[in-house]
Amino acid sequence: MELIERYVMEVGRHLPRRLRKDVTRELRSTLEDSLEGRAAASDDEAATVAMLREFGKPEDIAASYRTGPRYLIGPDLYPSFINTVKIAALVIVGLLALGSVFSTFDGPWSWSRVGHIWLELFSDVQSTLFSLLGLIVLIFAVVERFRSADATGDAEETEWDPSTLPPLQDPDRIDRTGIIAWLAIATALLVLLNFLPDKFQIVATINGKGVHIPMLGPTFAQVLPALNFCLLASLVMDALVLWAGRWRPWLRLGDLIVTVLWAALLYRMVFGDPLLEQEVRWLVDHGMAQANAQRYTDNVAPIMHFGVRLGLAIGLASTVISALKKTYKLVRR
Amino acid sequence: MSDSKHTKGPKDPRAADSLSPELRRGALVLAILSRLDGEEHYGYSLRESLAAAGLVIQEGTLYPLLRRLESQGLLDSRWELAGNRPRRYYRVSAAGRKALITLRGEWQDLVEVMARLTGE
Repeated sequence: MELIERYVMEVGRHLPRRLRKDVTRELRSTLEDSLEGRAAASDDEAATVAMLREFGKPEDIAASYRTGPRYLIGPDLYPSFINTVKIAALVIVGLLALGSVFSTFDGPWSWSRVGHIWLELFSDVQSTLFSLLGLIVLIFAVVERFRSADATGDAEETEWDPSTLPPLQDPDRIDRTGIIAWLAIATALLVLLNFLPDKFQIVATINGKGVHIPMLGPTFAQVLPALNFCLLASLVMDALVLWAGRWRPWLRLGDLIVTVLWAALLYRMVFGDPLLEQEVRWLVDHGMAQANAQRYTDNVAPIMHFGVRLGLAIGLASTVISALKKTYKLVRR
Repeated sequence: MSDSKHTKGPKDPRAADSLSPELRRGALVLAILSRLDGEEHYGYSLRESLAAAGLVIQEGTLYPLLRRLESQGLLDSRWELAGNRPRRYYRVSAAGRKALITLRGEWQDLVEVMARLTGE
């Protein structure tokens, strides 16, 4: 009987609390019935061992009683999870490596300094990847949990309509609408940034009044040449793609180069000096009262800087992912 | 002209052994509902009853399955003390009876189809 009790207790340890009492009670009774049915005495250890072997391992029995979600990340979500981890890892490693490249050439050359930079990269990649992996697992586990809870109450499947299948895609087909839209945006940006910079303003409420603050200060002027170059390169590239009518390997290579240039520029804008940093004197020179300029610099500007950096960082991540995808497509074709 | 060569897969002499329980597993629910329709059984007595009819079910399979069928609303259960031993008695619920009728019909269809396919 002691062996049966040990078995029942072990099964109970693997069961959720809500099932434990009920299942162990029934299991104990069933095991005693089964032992009697084998015409064995309750203290016949050999018969008890044979019977428990037939029942199976306690953890297996307990698993078969559990009816709730059985996966941290189920088979439906697993492919998406793996793809997300791969893309996130590539982006992180790419960004950190890019930072290390810039750091390498941003200072006097010495092997010890360069070696230190790249050793730090490995350490940063390791710690960042582990944190990122944990966060991605947590997100997918939560999604899986809510999907399972939702599916439990929904017994009927909606009928699948084959006409909703996505159309066949030509991998070399160009997106004319998207290209033309980007041509228009890039042209507008070139004109505005270079000939009408005063149009870029923000309105801040200072002392209850709306105050117009010009955004493009001296710091922005430092990146404007590079920004112009990237915009012009994009315009030329998109014009060539429209002219060709289809993607070709040399067009894909050119597009990739332009994307990398954008990534480098965005990196400079994210990790460089704040673009919207404006000195009090500069604001006063552009028509703002001294007191308002001081208040703006102290209270509003930090929030604006953070928002701009965040937006640029998102743009940078998106551009890096785009570059990786274009590289993959170029290599495959 | 067809290619009559068939590629041979790896030979696994245990394949039939693993397929046989899968075949039987599909019939378990119908067997349990049939036996509990109009009769009450506790776990061990149900197993003995099914074994007497020729269907041997592993204990580790039967008892969790009874719980699952109950959680699905196909079985009702009650506790009863037999001496100082508590036993959980199961019987088919109203929903279980409806499912049983459906499963019986599907089983009949399946038997006919398999008879044609296996040439019996």
